[in-house]
Amino acid sequence: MNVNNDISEELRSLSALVATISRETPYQAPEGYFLQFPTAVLARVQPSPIKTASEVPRVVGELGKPLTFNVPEDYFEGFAQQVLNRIKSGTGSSTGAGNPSWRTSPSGALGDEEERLPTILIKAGKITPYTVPEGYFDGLSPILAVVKDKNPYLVPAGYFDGLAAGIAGKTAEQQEHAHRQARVISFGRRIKYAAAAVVAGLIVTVGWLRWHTTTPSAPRQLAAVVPSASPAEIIKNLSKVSDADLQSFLVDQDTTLAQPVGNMGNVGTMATVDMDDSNLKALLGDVSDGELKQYMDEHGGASDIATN
Amino acid sequence: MTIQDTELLLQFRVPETKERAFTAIIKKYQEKLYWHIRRMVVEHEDANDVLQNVFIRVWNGLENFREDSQLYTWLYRIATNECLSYLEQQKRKSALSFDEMESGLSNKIVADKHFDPNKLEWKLQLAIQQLPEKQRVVFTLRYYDEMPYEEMSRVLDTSEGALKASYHHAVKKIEDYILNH
Repeated sequence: MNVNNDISEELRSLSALVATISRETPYQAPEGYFLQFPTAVLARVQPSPIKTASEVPRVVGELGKPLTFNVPEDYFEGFAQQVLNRIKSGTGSSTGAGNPSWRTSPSGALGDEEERLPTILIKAGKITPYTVPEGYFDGLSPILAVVKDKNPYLVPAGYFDGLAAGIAGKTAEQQEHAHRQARVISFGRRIKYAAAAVVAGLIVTVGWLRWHTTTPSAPRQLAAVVPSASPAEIIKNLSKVSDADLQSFLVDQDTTLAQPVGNMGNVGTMATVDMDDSNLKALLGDVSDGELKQYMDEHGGASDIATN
Repeated sequence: MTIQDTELLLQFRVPETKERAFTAIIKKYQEKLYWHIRRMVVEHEDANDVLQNVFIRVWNGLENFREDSQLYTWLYRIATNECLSYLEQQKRKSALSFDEMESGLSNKIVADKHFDPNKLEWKLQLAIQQLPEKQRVVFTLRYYDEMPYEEMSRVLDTSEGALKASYHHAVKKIEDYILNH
């Protein structure tokens, strides 16, 4: 057979050793096993030999368990019909087995009963046929009987009158609010804003602290005082500045110390312009001697000022 | 003269001939299926249980069997699945790991009253038990039942390429085992 040859060839190509091994399975099955096997399987798949209810006692008895109770002969054969007869007659439990309809069928035929069964069930409805003595449940627990219809919770007066209008108003408000569509700032953007605010705050704080916490130096004091203050204020503030600070300021300014114009009591400006005699002459060349004399008389003590 | 599977299936669908047809199917395939199962579960009692379960499944399902596949293929498919389920069940019952289960099956081989460690065919059985379950099925179907890959593909619902690869690996592993034991 070609398939067998193919398989043998394939095996030889894969493993010469395995190809030499006998293909006979070394296991053995019990003798006669295959002869009995079909019967064993059929016994398992065939349905149970029990066909009718009347066979049950016999079969159970055969199993070796003695039956404690007995039923009348052919009891199960007529049982289903007896139940149907009873349903059809509409008799309840109160009639019991003593009712003649329990034992005999009024109409007789089973087909009639099956046809009429739905009507009987419809007539029966879902009403429970049992009754309890009148007032039984009231007497069962007097407290529960009293409180069962009372609600202990209260609502504000007129609450339910305005409830519908209130809900309608809130609904309209929510709808209007939804239409407005407020700008939504995502969490990511908020983080950016917060970071920017923190940085700006730090810059302002550091600047403010630096400006206000450092001791103002003499130059800064002077710069602050000189341009806008009146002479009296300048003198007053200068008295507060120490000599060392003033010296430090002059050194920092790196300017040639000029001769003050006029005495410090009548200072018009704090001139720091480097001037020599020739410059003075050029500046005061247009001023007559009389005007200069008058100026000196008015500002006495200025004898050292050169004249033309 | 052997009755064709199609004829047996027709007879099975007729109530009067159902049991007769079923008996014929059992007789026709019982030995092939038994040995296939036995190589997987090793012990006869286990093989008997599995084989009976297989034919009970066949009885219940044969009326709905679609003849788009061969009865032979369908039976092997049921037998293989039943074997694997049985082994899985045994594993769960005894709470054994896969390796322990393998060694358990090897112990059963060694415990066989006909076991002969010097014979290659017994060594081969031990080597087969070292294979993973699916590979074991592929090897036994190819080596013992001489099943073509196309047929095996329908039984195991696996591609022919994968089956070839699996068989080649199995042969190599078996060779290694026999050489080293």
